Amino acid sequence: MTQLPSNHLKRESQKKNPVRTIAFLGMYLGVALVVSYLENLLPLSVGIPGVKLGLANSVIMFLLYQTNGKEAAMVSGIRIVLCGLLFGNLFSIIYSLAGAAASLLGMYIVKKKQWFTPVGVSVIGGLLHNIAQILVAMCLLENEKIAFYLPVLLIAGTVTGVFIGILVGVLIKKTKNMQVFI
Amino acid sequence: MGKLITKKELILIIVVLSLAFLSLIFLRIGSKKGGEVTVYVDGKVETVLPLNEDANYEISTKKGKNLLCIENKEAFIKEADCPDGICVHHKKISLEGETIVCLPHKVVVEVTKGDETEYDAITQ
Repeated sequence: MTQLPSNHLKRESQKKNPVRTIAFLGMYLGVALVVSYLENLLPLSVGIPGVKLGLANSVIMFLLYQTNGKEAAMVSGIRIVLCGLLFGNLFSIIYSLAGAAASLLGMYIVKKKQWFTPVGVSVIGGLLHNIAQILVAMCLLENEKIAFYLPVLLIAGTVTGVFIGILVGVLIKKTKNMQVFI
Repeated sequence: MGKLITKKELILIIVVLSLAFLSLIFLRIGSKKGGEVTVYVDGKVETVLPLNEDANYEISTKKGKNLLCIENKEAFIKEADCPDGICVHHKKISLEGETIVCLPHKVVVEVTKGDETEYDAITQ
């Protein structure tokens, strides 16, 4: 079941160039920001807060599969802060960071141990993201009834997780022999 | 891994969806129509309003305002000046435990039991 991604071999044979790294990371950050903004523009109102596609996460997850996780975490964190400053507020940053941290950590572990394919990793990421956000909301607002949102969020999160997972999985396959990072 | 989705993922998805749907069903079955609506600002109770009286209540917080409306024994937020407006698009609530939350304003509107019994009268 172990697989040696060709990107890793390519990376080893090239000297690490910090300028290239920053350029690539900046590019991915830009894509993530634009995707976030576009997703924000079309509000799919379901009447329940927090139900969204999370397309920007596909960028982060794709990055996770190209690097060892640190770069994905950086882009994710900066993206959240910038989005919060541009379109949201301080609280949205806190909730998003909590969700992203839990989800990225979980995805990193699951991916490293190779328990699941990208779809599985994405679903787990989505679940952790929602659970963490609910927990943070419950703490900050001191109201345990917020937990009632969990079933709906988990259902929506699983569905979007599958979709994002398929998207990223296909992207990984198609770009296997391309230079998509460093 | 070459495959996009294997049995493991299907099991994961089915388990999670089943648990979520089951808990959703249990929540619906176990919940009753609430008698009143409690408004929390910053974790503290601001006011309690009965659900059986139509009313408009403006919740003023340091960060902005939310207009809470009660109509037909349901509560919802009609207007708010928060940046995301999620609370305004939220569905109307009427069952015990249901909430509408405005995160930027730290406002929670929760349906609570109240003194009202479920029946107006009981014949014997």
